[in-house]
Amino acid sequence: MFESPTIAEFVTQSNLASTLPGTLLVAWTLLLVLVDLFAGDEREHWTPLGACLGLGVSFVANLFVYAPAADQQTALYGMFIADAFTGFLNIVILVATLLAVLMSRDYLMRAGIHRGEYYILTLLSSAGAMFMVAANDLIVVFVALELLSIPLYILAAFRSIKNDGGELALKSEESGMKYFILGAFSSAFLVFGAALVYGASGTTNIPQILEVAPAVVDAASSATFYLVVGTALLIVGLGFKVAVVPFHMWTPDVYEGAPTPVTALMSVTAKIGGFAALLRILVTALSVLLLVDGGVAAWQTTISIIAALTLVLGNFVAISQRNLKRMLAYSSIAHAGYIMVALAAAGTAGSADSATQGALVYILAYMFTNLGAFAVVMTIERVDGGGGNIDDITGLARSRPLLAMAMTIFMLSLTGIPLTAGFVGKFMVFAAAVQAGLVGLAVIGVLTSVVSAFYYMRVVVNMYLRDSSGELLPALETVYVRWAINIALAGTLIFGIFYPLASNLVSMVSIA
Amino acid sequence: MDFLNDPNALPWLIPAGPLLAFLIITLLTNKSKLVPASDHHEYGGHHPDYDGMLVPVVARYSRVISIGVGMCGVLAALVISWVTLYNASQLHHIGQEVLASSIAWMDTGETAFKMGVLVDPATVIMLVMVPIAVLMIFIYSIGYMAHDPRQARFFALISLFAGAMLTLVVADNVLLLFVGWEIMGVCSYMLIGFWFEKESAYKAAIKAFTTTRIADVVMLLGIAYLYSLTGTLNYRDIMYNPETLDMLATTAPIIFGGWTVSAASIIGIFLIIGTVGKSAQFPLHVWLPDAMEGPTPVSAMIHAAAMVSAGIFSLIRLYPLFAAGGDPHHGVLTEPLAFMAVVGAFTALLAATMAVAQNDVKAVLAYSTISQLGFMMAALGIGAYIAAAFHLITHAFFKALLFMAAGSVIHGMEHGEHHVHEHGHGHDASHHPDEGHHFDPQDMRNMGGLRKTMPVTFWTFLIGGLSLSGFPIITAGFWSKDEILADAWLGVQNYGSGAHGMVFIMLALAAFMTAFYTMRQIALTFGGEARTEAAKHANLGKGVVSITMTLPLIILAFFAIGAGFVGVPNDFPVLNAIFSPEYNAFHHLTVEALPLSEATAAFSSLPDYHAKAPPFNIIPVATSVLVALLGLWLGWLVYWRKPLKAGQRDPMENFLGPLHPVLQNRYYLDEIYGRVFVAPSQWLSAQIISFLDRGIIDALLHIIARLFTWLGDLVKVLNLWLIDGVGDGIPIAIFNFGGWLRRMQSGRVQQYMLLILAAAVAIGIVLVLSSGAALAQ
Amino acid sequence: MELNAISIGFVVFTIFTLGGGIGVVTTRNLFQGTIWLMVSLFGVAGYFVLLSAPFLAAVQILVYIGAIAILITFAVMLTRSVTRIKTRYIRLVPSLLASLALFLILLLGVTMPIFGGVSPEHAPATVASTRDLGAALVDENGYVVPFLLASVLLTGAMIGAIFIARDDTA
Repeated sequence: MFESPTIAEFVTQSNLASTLPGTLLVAWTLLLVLVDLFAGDEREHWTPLGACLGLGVSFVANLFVYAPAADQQTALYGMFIADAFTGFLNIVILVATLLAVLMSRDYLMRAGIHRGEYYILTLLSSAGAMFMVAANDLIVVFVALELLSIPLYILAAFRSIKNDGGELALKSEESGMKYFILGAFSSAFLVFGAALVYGASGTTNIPQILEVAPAVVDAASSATFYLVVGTALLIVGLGFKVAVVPFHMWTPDVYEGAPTPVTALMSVTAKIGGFAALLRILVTALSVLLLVDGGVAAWQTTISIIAALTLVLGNFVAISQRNLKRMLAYSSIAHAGYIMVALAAAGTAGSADSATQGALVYILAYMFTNLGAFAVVMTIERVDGGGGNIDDITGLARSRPLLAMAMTIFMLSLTGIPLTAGFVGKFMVFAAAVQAGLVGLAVIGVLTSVVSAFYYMRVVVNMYLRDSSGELLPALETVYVRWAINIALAGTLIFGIFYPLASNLVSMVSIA
Repeated sequence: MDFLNDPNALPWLIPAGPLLAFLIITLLTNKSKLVPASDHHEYGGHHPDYDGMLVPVVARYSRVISIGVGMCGVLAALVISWVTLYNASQLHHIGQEVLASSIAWMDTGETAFKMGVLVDPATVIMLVMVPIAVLMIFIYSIGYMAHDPRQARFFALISLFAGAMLTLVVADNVLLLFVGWEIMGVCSYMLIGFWFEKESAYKAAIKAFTTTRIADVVMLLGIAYLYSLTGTLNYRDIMYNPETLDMLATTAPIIFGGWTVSAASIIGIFLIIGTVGKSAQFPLHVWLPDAMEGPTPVSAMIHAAAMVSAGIFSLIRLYPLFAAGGDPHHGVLTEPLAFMAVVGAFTALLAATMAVAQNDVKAVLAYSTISQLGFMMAALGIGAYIAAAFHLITHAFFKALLFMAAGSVIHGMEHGEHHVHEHGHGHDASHHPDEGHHFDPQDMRNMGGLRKTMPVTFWTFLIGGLSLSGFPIITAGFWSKDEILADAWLGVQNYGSGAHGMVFIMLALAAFMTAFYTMRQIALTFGGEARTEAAKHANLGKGVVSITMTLPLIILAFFAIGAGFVGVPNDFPVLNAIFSPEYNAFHHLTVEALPLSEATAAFSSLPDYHAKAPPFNIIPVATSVLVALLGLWLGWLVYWRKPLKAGQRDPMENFLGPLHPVLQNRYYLDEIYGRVFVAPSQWLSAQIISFLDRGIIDALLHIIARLFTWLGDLVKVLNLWLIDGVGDGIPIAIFNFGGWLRRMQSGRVQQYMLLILAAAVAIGIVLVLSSGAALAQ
Repeated sequence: MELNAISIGFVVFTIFTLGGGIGVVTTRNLFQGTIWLMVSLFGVAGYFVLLSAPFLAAVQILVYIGAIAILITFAVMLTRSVTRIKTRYIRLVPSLLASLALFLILLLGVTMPIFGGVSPEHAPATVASTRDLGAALVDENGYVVPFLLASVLLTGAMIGAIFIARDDTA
């Protein structure tokens, strides 16, 4: 029998304290299952509140372990890393989930499908995202990715149950099914890639891969080939999760069919998880796949091509969308492209830190803005999924001036107009790209931003300049959604106006 | 065959007979076809729920063969058990020597996990009881189930039940015990729900299965932990091995590192929780009263011969583990022992109070079972190992007897009811207080005077009832209960142990109530005059059915009296000369299952398991005589002397007043289980929501709204400029390009997959080329 | 390749694995497809045996053939029109080409000296026992964290599965 430590020994040795944000959230969620079970008819109040409280608890725990000293960072025997990168993204995930939960209650009540499982799955998915940004091992990356994804598959199909009126939403079922099949397909690439990397390096631990990789590359044997092909497959698997071209095809279909709060959530947390893993794997573990003289990683070309394709396609296709949710879906593809630009920039030796910081700020800005935009779309959408077309918001400025205002600011932020968070993010990303020598990519980024103004501004125009067909849109939303919009708006403006705030927050981040 | 001649290997065959019978009946002889129930005269009136349904009807020859196969199986088990008992008696010193045989079952790295059989004193006492009780139940079933269309199925299941119980009895390790335990769980599920057309029956089946499963999971945890610490689950290696016991008693558990409990205690409590479920102890007792929804032989099987006994038997088996680290005979209880004492004594009293207020003839017995199991559990808790084992055996005999006698009563009542209907006696409404409803042949208020029409049932029920009450000297129940009380008293007297005192007082009270409700039951059922027409015509009929249902009662009645005399204390006045001139036979045998004194003396953590039987003391004996007689007298006074008239209220209702419905409704425990969790959470959530809805934020929102309106106007101007400023041509071109790209979006999953695959190839090639270029330099 | 028991076994199991796989994607009968899947999975179990991992082979058979494939069989049997699946091969040729290209890249990379010499690495002589495997799963220096995380994942999946599957008209 092997020696097992006591709990006390385990806690100290494993540095369990630094995993608290994630573990507390999981534990809370499991408690919430029971609360939901016994809450009876009151669950429509009780469960979302419990979910919000759990996010708050996790948030507080995260503040305590945010950016620990260097020797305190790895936890659970190297499987888990809690550095400033983790701490920052945890906050983004928790806020995103909070906004999504606030939106959800209203949506579910309106659709007549209020079930406690919704919040439990949401929290589990976010816990998966938090574990993913903290993953320091390919196996944890994979398991956390599944924990992030599987609840999302179900949430996407959440409207496939009969609602209180006995109706089914087939589009939601199709959405969940499509997401599930393609997600499983891409997970296979991820696992195969991880297996090849493990075969080449003999370890799945990310820092250890960094140690072993130079020797593997120098040996110039078939192991080198495994490492390279493994990297390619990892990019494919994670590229699907962050929805970059050419792995983006599922995005509009799934986003459109899924319940709107779920779309909002998955457009943020799934991307955060995927990008965190991509950054950790490519920047930390595989940065040694360097060209001898240029000082850039071998994967930079590939990532640059993907980024450029994503920017062009995402922005251009978004133009021709009439449905707001579909438009936002394509815009989210485009935004993944901007983050990809930062990732490509991180491939140049020396600019890895500034590029990573740029990516994080971009993610923060995108989170607030995108969730806010989805929240506004949700308030004007009809329960049956209709009413979310661009013509339906005509004259919104007259009937709901407050809402139209918020939507305008979100659209400005998505475009990247100064004094909004979106501008700060774009600025930092392009600056990093130029610093890394990727001027061409930066130019494509700026140009596509101009293109994006076309479709974002069309929304604003429709709200303000065109008269409505007659009837005024009723105020459907509740106090929960209003809170979600307010928080998103506050975030968008605060980080946009106080420009140094975001860059100070991420100044400690260094993962290279 | 060598195998048969090897006394060590023979116990393998004990469970084989019933298990084989199960297979044969299930696979070969149970042939049936679906026939509307009403078309088949034979099943016409037996169970009204069947009317009009398609029921599988088994051909007569098939049913006869099935019964024959089942009987052969259990007879084989009986014979092999007896041969094994003979072989065991030939051992020089059973306990130190045992009959054991095992095979390597699963390879676990360096060693193998062994499965095997073991005959030690604990097995011996069970082998005396189980096969006989099971055979009686089988014989009884022939008559009881004679008119049931699913007879073959019944015999298959009950054979499996018996086989599982025998497996559990002869098992040499905890895992095999658990296997038997779980098979019994499944059988009980299928047998309680045997008449699954009745909603109450399948609900009871589900309740029984899930309740016991909850406990089983905890028990499995205990088993896993035991195995992880010791590397074995064999009884002899753990329970008869002082070194292992000492290790377990002195190891601090991983999980509760900071506490002072030992690993043995943690494991013990986990394993005990398994029994709390299986043997229906508080708070998991709720399934057992519902379990009487099954056919009566099944009730007898569950309540006496198999299921609940298995729980106590497992505790007896594992007792050295529970006591390790304490010394119950000197007033020092370990956590598991204290747990058992508290749960057992509390359950004994609680269930006894519930039994007082029941009107269903089987429900009274069900609660008495829970109560009596509480006696055993409490006895084990205070270290009265032998007394617990003894009570287990005697209780099995008289409870099997009582259940089958109660089954005969029900059968007789149904017969009587049938008779009334056929001959048109039933039109007078006064005979049917609940006319229009289904007549309840199990309600004691509908009975009365059955001693005249069913004399054999009456006398055997009386014997069983007196034994349950602990009627002094002549009944088995007296001797086993007396021994528990004697053990408890010894602890109080010598060591001033509070736990012993508590057990003594609570069990004495429970015993008093047992005597009272038993007398109440006998009086209501058999005393006075018939309260309904059905009761007036109740009888078992004539012929084979009648014989198969009365013969087991007579045989078991013999045991209900005689089984007590094997355990007469050897210093009991007068009777010791007759029954135990040298030593107390039961005590002498059973104590040998425990580790030897010489072996445990070397370990300070272990008690001396071979404690002497408590010396004769007049106080516990007088107490048990007194409570039994007082309870019976009181019951006689209230119910027999002044028999209940038809429609008259139960005197207990007047006496207990508002308490009566509480007892009758089982202290509302089922309701409480629901309400304890739901109500507070509802209240709390309502409070918080109303606080939020009060709108502390509304004021803030209005201020912000103003600001937004102003900003909105600004942006309106901005947008005017933007749209007007951009030329017409560029947006149209962009729009067209977007439309072209959009057409790629077909919505077809296969196409998306293909694209991903192609992209993977492309990315692979690009990456390989760029890396290759790097390496080439 | 030498002709010994292992290489013959390898060929046989490869035929099982690939043949089964081809069977799955070509048959029009769902039920037969399940059987083919079992054949393919059995071939993979054979590989585990060849790689001196008998425990994994047993797990493969127990879990994949014993549990998952049987589950699929049940699902198939509960489905109507088992044998009348109208398969339409959407873009059969491009799919085949893409698959083959991926396969060729992997195959060439392993067998051809693209990055220099082919260096077959020999597996360590000591074969991990079941105990090592179990220890690696629950030992704190092994994979206890993914193991625990997987349990959370399964909880989520189960809640979701129950949610999706239950017939809720409330």
